[in-house]
Amino acid sequence: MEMLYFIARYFMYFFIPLLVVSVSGMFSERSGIIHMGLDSVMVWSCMWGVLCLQWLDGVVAGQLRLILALLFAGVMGILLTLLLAVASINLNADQTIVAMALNTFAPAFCIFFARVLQDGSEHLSIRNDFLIEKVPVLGDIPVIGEMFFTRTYITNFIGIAIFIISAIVINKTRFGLRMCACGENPQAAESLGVNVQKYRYAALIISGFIGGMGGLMYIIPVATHYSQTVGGYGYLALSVLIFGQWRSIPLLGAAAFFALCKTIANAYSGIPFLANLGLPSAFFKSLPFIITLVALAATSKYDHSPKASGQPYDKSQR
Amino acid sequence: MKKFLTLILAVLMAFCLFGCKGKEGGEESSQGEHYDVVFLADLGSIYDGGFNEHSFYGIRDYCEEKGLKYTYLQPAGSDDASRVTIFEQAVNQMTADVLVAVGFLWDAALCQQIPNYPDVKVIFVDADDLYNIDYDYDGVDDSLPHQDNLAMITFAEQDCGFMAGYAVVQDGYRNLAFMGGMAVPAVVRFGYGFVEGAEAAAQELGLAEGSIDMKYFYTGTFDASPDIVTRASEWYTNGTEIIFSCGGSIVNSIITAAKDGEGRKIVGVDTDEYFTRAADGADNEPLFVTSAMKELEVTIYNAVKAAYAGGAEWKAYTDAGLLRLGAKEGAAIIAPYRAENWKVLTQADYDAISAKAVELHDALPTEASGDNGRPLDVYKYVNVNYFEQ
Repeated sequence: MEMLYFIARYFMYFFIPLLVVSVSGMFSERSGIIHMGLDSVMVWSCMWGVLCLQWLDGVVAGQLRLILALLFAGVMGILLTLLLAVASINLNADQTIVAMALNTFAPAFCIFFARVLQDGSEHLSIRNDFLIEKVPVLGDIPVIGEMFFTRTYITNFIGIAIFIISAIVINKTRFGLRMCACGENPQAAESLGVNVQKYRYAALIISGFIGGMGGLMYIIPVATHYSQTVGGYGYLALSVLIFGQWRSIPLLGAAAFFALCKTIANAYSGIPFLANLGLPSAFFKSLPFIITLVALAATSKYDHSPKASGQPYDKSQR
Repeated sequence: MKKFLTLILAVLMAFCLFGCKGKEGGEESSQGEHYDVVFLADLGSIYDGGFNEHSFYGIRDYCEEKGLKYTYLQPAGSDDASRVTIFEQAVNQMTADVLVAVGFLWDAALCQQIPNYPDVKVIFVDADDLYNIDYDYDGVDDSLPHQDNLAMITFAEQDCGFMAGYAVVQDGYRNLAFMGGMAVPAVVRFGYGFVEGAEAAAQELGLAEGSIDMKYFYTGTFDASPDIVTRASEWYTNGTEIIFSCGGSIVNSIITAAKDGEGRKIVGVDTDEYFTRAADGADNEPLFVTSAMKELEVTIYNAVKAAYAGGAEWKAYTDAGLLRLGAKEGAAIIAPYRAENWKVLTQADYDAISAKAVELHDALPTEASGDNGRPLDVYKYVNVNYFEQ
């Protein structure tokens, strides 16, 4: 039972950043902009979030400090994503290449900036006093309380909330459906009076905000200082997005599956039944990728990727 | 509007180039200016809080004392060509007198370049033996003939790893673990020494066979990640008392895991992490029982000093071939005794450990004794549980 609680708790450290960042990617890609730059948004916003935590230290206390830093990271995420927006919406640039430029730019800039700021080292220290020992009331529920509501971080709940709100916005609101139309058939959408450019901008702003928060959510539970890297989780989120076929509910499943494999790959030696199987940890580590490949190959007939993603919008093609 | 946005984009691009230059060339350097001592860094950040940074401090200390100009250069990539490029930059454009290159990955570049510049003194730290090497593994010997301008220094990390393992078992820890970054020679030696130390202490204490548990794992990275937190925390949860963290920033994740429960301890590496990690929060201090340290600063300071003194002092370095500095030379040590960190170990016990390492130095395994960093299969008291990466 102890081990179950342990797995549940650590599962969240993988699950939440993957879920949030892949939701960020979903907004962008459903509107028709391929977002290969998720990693750069994470790296960049995470730095600003950590800096914000330092600035607010001693000014505001407790969870409020974390929430303000999350918002700030989100706003900085928007700034970086706007570069992608301008290049791919206004300048009709190749979206993949712009994103790759961002991926090269962000880590280099962050190292440079942090060194200038600190006059030397680029490591930004994080004072973490955000662990919630027990959530009142919810923490007393048997089993579930122990699994998800003790020794937890507020980012877990914010992450879930982001997912639920995003799912509703994309699937149930006028805005979301029109945004998806821009990613499927922008010419048709335009002919019905939808301003494609405006909707794509809106989608990227939301994507930047969510992705930015995801960057900070990644680092908070796992490190005591930030060294301008997020361990490639932006790219991992991208594969979650593809495995989840750009749809909310499958995305949730995909993120959970990836996170579970990651958790087990690192903790299987503590689970007697798995340890006795004698499988190498490489098996668990590679499992999500192998299944993604197989799933994509098997379902390629029913490809759900947004039809117009990756193509600059050209009104004259109507 | 479009023009304005294009302008912003252009400015940011320019920033990007600026940022890249800082990383490759070292922001303190410009073409043509003379530097006396140039530090040729290893992979990773120059301010990594460990190997690069403290090596650089050795140079800094000497140069500031003598009023010499110094700077550092970092290879742009992990390939030999980028190392050759910055070597030439240091020699031709900065006209350096002394070069200090750290990290064994410099071997090929140095073999190719040193004979071309006999007037430049090169100090190679964490070195391979360039007088006996096949750096491209093609079966053809690439060794250099003897060079009068080359000093090669490496550390016997197994000595300080031994001291740390010996100390913690003496103090009553029975469930140990080793977490390395990558299985590079220095990390491997630290780990091998750690197991040996635990074995020696167990034998001396008369413990039952197999009474020490040792989990053993290379993370494959020198960065923090949730993977490492999860694994470390799982180990602690299932009984591990102390983890020897041996790989740059992975200690960050191990700290996080250690704070997730009571009584979880860490052994630091390279520098006295009791102090260096306190910068990230004073509550990190009590986690570090001790650290297996290399005296990088002093060693490099002395070598640079010898290079400037020339004559017999420098000849002692160049004639020695590959210098292996360990406990005997005071180059592999453990962190100073702090009474509050130890349960039973006294200052006197602690002082005796170093002598023990000196005595056993020749018997300790090095990276050449094992199979790609896998611990040896010879221990009676230590039950090693090796995890594949």
